Amino acid sequence: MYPKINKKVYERTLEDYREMAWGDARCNWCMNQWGWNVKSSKYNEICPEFRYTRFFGYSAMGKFHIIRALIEGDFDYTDSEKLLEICYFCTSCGACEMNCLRLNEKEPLKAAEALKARLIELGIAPLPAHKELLKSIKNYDNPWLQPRSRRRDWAKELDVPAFSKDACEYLFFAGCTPAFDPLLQHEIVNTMRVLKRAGVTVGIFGEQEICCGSPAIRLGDRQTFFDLVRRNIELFKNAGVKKIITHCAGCHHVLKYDFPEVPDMPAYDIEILHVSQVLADLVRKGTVTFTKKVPMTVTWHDPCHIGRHCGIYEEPRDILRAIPGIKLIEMERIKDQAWCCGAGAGVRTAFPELSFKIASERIEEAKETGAEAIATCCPYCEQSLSDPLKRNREKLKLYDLTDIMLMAL
Amino acid sequence: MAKKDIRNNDRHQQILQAFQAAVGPENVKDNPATVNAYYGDWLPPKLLGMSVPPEFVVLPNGTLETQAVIKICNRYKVPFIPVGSNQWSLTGSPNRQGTVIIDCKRMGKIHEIDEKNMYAVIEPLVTLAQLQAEAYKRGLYIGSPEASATASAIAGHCFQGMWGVGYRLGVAYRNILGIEWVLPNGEILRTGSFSLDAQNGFWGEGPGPDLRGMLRGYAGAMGGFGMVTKMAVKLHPYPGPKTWPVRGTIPNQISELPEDRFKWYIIKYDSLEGAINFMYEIGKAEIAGVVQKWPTVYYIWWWANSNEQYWTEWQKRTFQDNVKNAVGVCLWGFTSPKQLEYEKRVLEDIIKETGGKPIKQEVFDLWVPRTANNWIRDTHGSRMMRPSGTFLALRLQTDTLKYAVDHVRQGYEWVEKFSPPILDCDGPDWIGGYDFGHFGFGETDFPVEKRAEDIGDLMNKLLAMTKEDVQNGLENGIGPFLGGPYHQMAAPVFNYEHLLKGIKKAIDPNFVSNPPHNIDPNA
Repeated sequence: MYPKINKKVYERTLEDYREMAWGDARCNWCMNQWGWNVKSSKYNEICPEFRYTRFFGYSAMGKFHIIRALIEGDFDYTDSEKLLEICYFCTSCGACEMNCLRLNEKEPLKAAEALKARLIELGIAPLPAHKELLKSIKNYDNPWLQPRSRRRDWAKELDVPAFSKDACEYLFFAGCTPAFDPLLQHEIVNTMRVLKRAGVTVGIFGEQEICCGSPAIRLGDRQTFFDLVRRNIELFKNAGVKKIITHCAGCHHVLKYDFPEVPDMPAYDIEILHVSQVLADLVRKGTVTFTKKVPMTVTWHDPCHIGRHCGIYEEPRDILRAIPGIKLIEMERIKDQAWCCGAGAGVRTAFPELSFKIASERIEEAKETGAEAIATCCPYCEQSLSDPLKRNREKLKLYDLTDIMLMAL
Repeated sequence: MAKKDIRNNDRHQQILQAFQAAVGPENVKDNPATVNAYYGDWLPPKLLGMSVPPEFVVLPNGTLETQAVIKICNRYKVPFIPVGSNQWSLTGSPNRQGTVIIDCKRMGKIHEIDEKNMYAVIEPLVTLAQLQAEAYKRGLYIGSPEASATASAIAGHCFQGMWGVGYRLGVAYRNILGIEWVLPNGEILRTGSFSLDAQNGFWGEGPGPDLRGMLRGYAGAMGGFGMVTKMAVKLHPYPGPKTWPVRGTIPNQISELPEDRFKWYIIKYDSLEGAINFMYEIGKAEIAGVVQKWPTVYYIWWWANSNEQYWTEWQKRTFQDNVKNAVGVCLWGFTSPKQLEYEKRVLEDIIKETGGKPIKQEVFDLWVPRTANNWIRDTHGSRMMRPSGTFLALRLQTDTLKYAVDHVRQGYEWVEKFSPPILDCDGPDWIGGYDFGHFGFGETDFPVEKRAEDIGDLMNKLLAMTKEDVQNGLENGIGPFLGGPYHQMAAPVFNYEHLLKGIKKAIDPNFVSNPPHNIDPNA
């Protein structure tokens, strides 16, 4: 049995993954859907990176072999012109780890992310497109080169209070991408509207909010991430935050599961909830009831960072099922075996054509269900899935979960 | 000191350019990161000194590109290894410098599924899970051997295919109807149905020459006979649903087939002989779709959702005390629910007559919904790797069910002798049958610590014991999975040396197709 790595994830070095890498099982489950789930030949594959490259190195299994070779000195980090591409084509969707962990108790995604961290430490990475993101995070506390003063603009038309521990049960962590991108602001605007109608007392940090660090850690920049984590925790503690609601899947994953993995983390006791969890609970309790009919067939796209990485599969589906008129139909690859949108870990930024291919495949899969709309709950998924919809002038509509909820309230 | 980069070599550049011209520059890689991903099989790298990275990885698309690549390998006399899915491969990674990996990852088409004549024409990357999914939609099925949902269906058919449904369908290689095959010398051979019509896979047998038998074997040719680029395989009528029934997310999944068509039994006997007698009687009655005698360790390997659960349950002896010498039987109502009702009555009579007893209901309920259907459609098989990091198999044989009993008993002794590093596995005796039990197989699988020092030493000892047995005229062992080394020792003893060497010399004059597999003609 492989020795468990008894270290926090971000205390681990690449060498800590030696045993896992050395003992690769060559079982292919990092590239293929779980056997019982395969419903067709067309949608069998699960690793977006491998799907569009076809060489083993671009799969988790291949990366284990590359890591073994690097650790054992069979080749050097600077010897291969393709090493950076192999590492940064990965969207960190976690499909490989979902299957490998369950079959072999190995963590190929964490190992691949440790390899990215090593490349950054050695000054070989990041890629030029990613350097801009990381520089922006350091300078502006967001990856999009936007001034801090505009971070609250999305809430201008809303009556949203600044967070205070006495007046607000929850802090709403808006996230950089929906806060700054006008095309995505509807996601958090509608989230606030729905939460307000549901009677949830929630406040925001506004200009004080800073990046959660997701782009940094997914690119392997641990130091930037650690710094953001400590600053975020300080902000939360100082404000007396006890519960946080997120909308962005990337923020949710990082706040819930990556923050505690940082070395020497100061102690904190904060509950992290995704908006779909809070609202599904209120729907179940009858606090939120849908009064308007929304006659539409919808298929749900599981964002990797709330789905596979956090296990939130049923809550958004429960909400959709509770809306009168909505008919929920499923794609072939769903839940733990869902296909990624192609945006994650800086892939859309650095490799837009690869991201486009991955997203197009998801749209194709959605269209084959016969649904009129695809719904999701992640700004990156929305951005990425909207690319092929726009370019190909598709009839399929794309909604955020809260858009649909608002139609029904 | 910087390592010498082989890529600066003139000969390397010539070969690279030739491959690029054949398949397009984007489909050839020689950079260290990409080639090192093909280093090593599922046993620990460097075990028995077998692993080096390849010099090139080439991804042809289709028969003609594959032919062009293989001709280049012959022109430059460089060894090549054809790679399918590479799932659990033991001979799919290079053991010689300068090797070319010919990877089929661009060849994943199902060309045709002929529902009426019940066959599929497939390319090498099509996995058994994909083929099964498409077959179910059409009311047809094909099996998947344990731990092989992600394996190439073509590679699976070149192998005997120890699939759960083999009891009904026979060995996998008998389900091959047609082959399009690039020989090691670069010639294209179409055989079986394809010898008459390259698209028609209806009927594998004659008229005319049929060379399918050359490729088929106990464990295939291990890449030693070139590369199959297209195959027609037989499909069979299936009474199950068009989509595989599964509930829950992994690892907590349940799969239950319709009760009016499928029914599982697990029947326990006092001895292994009693269990095998039961299997014979079922075969005589020509009922059931799956009949298997699994070792205790299989029950828990497939069932446990985690290592922690594996070892907790193992220590509680849930399976050791309840399923020892038990036989799993799945009755299928192939034609109708009435058939299932009939078969239930027949089986219950056989159970009574042979003195079998159903295993405890709570163990049955614990195991069957989560696990049993893997023998119709595999998904959990790779869990064999989990408790210790790998498993080894020895005393594999195909003969009769009765012979399998003797053979796995010998396997117990070997396991006992080398425990540790072999882990506790309670007499690992897997016995199954093909063709209603007319043909049987046995295998001794066991978990073993995947550490170089342990496993390397163990493998060498097991090889020495195999060699000794072979010299004594006793065929068995871990050998077949090692291809060349096994045939090298067994072929002279069992008098197939001239045949195998003759074939190899005729089709692989430059000895470039995954040497030393299937046999070294000059040794």
